[in-house]
Order: sequence, then structure tokens, then C-alpha cells
Amino acid sequence: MKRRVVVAGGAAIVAAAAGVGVGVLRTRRPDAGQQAALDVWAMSFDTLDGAKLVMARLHGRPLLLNFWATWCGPCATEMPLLDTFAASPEAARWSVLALAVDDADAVRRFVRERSLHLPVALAGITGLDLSRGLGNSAGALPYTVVFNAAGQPRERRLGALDASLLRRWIDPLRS
Amino acid sequence: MTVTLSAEIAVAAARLIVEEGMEYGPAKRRAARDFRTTRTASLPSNDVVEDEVRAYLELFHADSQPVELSALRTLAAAWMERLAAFRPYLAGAVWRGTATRLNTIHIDLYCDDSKEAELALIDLRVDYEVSSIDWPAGRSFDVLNMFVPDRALGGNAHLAFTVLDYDDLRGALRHDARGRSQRGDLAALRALQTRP
Repeated sequence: MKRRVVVAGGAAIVAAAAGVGVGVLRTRRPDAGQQAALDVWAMSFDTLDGAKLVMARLHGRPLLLNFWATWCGPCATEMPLLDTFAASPEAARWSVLALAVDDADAVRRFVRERSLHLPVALAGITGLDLSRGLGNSAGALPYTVVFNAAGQPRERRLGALDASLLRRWIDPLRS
Repeated sequence: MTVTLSAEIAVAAARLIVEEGMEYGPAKRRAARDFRTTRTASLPSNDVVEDEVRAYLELFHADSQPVELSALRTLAAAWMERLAAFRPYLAGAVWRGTATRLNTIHIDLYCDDSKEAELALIDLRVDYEVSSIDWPAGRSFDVLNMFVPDRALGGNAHLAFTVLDYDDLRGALRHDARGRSQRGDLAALRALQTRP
């Protein structure tokens, strides 16, 4: 944990230390997962240049939704893989979104320093709640969910992605 | 909060359990291998894995899983009725409520005489295969396996009857670390099924 620690990170760490992160989850409604999956498509997030990203506009194509933060080591590790995928020809039929559970300045600096080009949006600390609704019981990062073209969740991963897993996800949804 | 290896393994194991019908132990070990670790210290507890299984079911199978679970429990109840003389107790994912059509229906039989249950299956003209399961302390039990076509499930259901001693029943009714039961008899199963 370096000086880059930001408000969101601090809050998450405090929550985890208090055991809150795990406790909150157990009270979800039985249909919470499906509900959150629906909710995602009604949401909008700020992009790094101050525009609004309306999730409904991504509907109709498979979506790789990655929850991350600048203070999270494994997130930084997997980011080049996501960036490469987002720029690849096969991603043309996909939407990729790296949703930062973090503060805008830290994210901007991170993206600039590492010359990332993939779509990044800001969810702030509420992004963690969204990820929990999408099955991230541990409330930990990184967390990734893949949606099919119909907007239904199909795959998830807690922890950094690797190339072979990404390949396994992409192939069945290729058509 | 950055993810721990144990939590990663739990999430990956949950997928294997639901999508491939694997049991908890093998699923954890396979998931651990995918993360290139064999350190047992990294393996999540079954409680944690079960939470992840429930999260997985909610997210990916919220529409189909309750229907499949109900079909499995109906089938389990029918066989527990038939084998009522051997004190059948439903265990595993079908009892805990996390089962999908791929899961085995585990029924424990607490018999006075371990051969009786097998004779009863023969009397019922059931085709079954015997396997065995090893317990700690060098004990080993027969498992009578049946594959039964089930229309509601759209395929065969796998029933596994573990033939235990009557004396094992007391320990079997202990609750787990979270105070939940590990198995239930026919009356308990019916209560689960009628609960709205």
C-alpha cells in the first residue's frame, strides 16, 4: 500500500478489517443476483473525461465487466491483458468496461501512467455493492463478470484473469 | 480488500460444483490446481465454498435451480419412503438446497444389518452398482448407486445410498459450525418441501 491509497480504498480496507465486507452479503435477497444483473443495464457511470456512460447503450453485445481499483495489486497485474483484449479484432463484437471502485484522480493518473486505452468508468465505492450483487460475496477485487448479448451474466472470476481463462470465455460467445 | 487465494479458489470451485456436478473436495483440489497451488492451507472451508455455490446459483441459475432442486427432493422422498425401514436420511447438496440436476442424491441408510438394504433393492428389482467410501479410522462403507430416469429432470438422476451402522446415526445428526443440519429424515424433507 503506497501513497496512492485513496478514499475508496481506505474505506474498503477498514470495512474488511472490521469484518463488515463479508457480513453484509449474507443478507441478500434470494433473487439478488438476477436483480443486480438487471440493474446494471439501467445504470450509468462517469467516464474519465467527465461524460456519462449509459450501460443500456452497451446492451446487445457480450460485455466483460471488470471491477478494479488502483490500490489493488492483482488488478494492476491483469490490466494489460484486458487492455490488449479490448484492442484486439475479436473484441470488436464485445463491450469491455473496467469499472473503477476508486477515486477519479487516482484512476486518471493510473490510466495515464500505464497508457491504457480500454474503456474505463468510475463507480466509486458503490461499485463494490454492485459487484456484490453480481456474486462477489467476498467483496474483494479484482472481480470480473461476463454477460452474454442478452445481458445475462454467464461467467465470473474473483482474482486476476489470465489469458487462458479469457480465451475460454471469449470462444463460446464468439458468434 | 484485495482478493485472497483461498477466496479465489472458493469461487472457482463453486463453478465446478454447479456446472460439472463435482463434489466439494475434488472441486476444491481441482480449482487449487488451476491456481497452481497444492498447499492445503489455501483451500477454503466447505462453508465458504457453499456460500460461493449459493452466490453462483443466484447469479446464473436463479430460474432453473429451484425447479431442479424440487424435482430431486421429490425423487429423494419417494426412495426414502420405499427404504423407510433402513432409517434413510437425505444429505449433501439436495438436503442443503444447493443441488442442480447434475448433483447426486445422497441418502444415508442407518441399518441394523448392512446386508438388508442391498437385499431390499434386489427385492425392488432395482439395477444398482456397489462402490465404497472410506472414512477416517480405517472404516469403509458400501455405497449402492442407482441411475433413475426422471421426467422432471429431463434425464437420469443419480442416487447414492451409503449403508451405515445404526450406531452412526447419533453423530450424523450433529449440526455444522453454523448450526445447520447436515442431513434430514423424510419428515424433515417434507417440511422443507411444503415451506413456501
